[in-house]
Amino acid sequence: MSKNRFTGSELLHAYVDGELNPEEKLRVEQWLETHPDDAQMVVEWQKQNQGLNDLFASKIDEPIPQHISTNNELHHTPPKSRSASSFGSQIAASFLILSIGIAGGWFGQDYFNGSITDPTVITATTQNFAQPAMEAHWVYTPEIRHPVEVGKSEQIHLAKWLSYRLEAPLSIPDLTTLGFDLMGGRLLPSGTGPAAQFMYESKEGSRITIYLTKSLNNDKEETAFQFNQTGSTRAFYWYSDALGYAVIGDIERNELLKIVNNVYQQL
Amino acid sequence: MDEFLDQLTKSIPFLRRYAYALVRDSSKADDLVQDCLERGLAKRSQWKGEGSLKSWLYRILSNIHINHYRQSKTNPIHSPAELTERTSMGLDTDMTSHQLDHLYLRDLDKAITRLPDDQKQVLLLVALEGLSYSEVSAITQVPLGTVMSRLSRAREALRKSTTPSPPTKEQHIRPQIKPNIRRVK
Repeated sequence: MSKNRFTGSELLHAYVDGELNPEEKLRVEQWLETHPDDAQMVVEWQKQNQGLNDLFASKIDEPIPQHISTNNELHHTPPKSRSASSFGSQIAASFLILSIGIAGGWFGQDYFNGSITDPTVITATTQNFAQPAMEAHWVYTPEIRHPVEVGKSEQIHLAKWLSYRLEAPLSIPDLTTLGFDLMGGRLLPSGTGPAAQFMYESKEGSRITIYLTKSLNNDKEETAFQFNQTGSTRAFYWYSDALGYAVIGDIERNELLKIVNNVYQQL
Repeated sequence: MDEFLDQLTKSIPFLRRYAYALVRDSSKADDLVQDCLERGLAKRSQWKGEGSLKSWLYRILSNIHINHYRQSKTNPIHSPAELTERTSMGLDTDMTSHQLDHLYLRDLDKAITRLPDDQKQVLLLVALEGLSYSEVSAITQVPLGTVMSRLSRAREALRKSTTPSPPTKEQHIRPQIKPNIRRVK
């Protein structure tokens, strides 16, 4: 390899991406010590790489949908068909087992309708409501002094007030048995009118939020739990009667699902 | 199980991640992966066993994406320079922890979707899938220099769209609480 494979800023990219040999690497490191602007750029790019990996990490652990298969016999099956009976081959079975292993207890959880939601299928309409719920979670959970608008001491007032604003009777779920104490809640704007957020905290300081918004569904049907993840923040969300609910936390998926089931039972 | 199928199966999670990052629609991404696997199996005899099978599959997937998917979708090309002001170069202080700020991730997420397809593809193959420049050059079938200039433009666009948060002297924001169980990368 020629010594001048990379020139100028290319060297910096190549450094970030591990393309350099030890000698070139050393030269770049020496350069960075005396060139803070370049060093800062390198840090920024490394942060981008980390961010990209965080954003899409969940895809690697996700169970592989049944219609994706390396089985020759399935070649002419339309991709959308999800018939479990077509899942005959050893190959397909072997990575089904693999994906169950990866998914941890995902399939083992009790779903209230007995139906398993494919976590990879997120419809556009419901995503619209998961996104603001997550943003509200990110904005308010780091707060030290003002995490909530109305505190736990005024819990009865909080429930009444938010019920009035969301035009639906709300009860505030009690999650103490799962180790999360209510901190309080707040009123929020949303695309469909007022929304509400309740915040809870564990003894370790981990915070979860429950987000409620008026349903866009006119049929007022119940939907199954859906899952969304950005970085380490995970959310389950669903519609029930007149409201859409999201439970959000930076905790492990199975832990969050326990809370979700508990919240659902209390509604 | 034969070696080819074994490797093919092992590549599926990575192909799904790449396809999803590229098209941002779970079902479209999975269709893309399925098409890629079918084509890979059909062209099996063409794979000479040179280089990694994964990289060959990325190439197939990229070609399908370009031929069938890209045309159907509007892909507005924004110039992030027009959208965001150039930020003062205040370096984000919290780089010691690997936990990135969620708002940064959100901005990054949005910025990726705004990248032109050719830049996005190179960035994802290098930074997300960890492929070497020469592999990416083979996959995208452009010279190494073009790979590098696309990478450079993509990174600059992302940098401009992800404004570093202003440094806070007062403690208003709690330090990030690490999740109890960390995902294994």
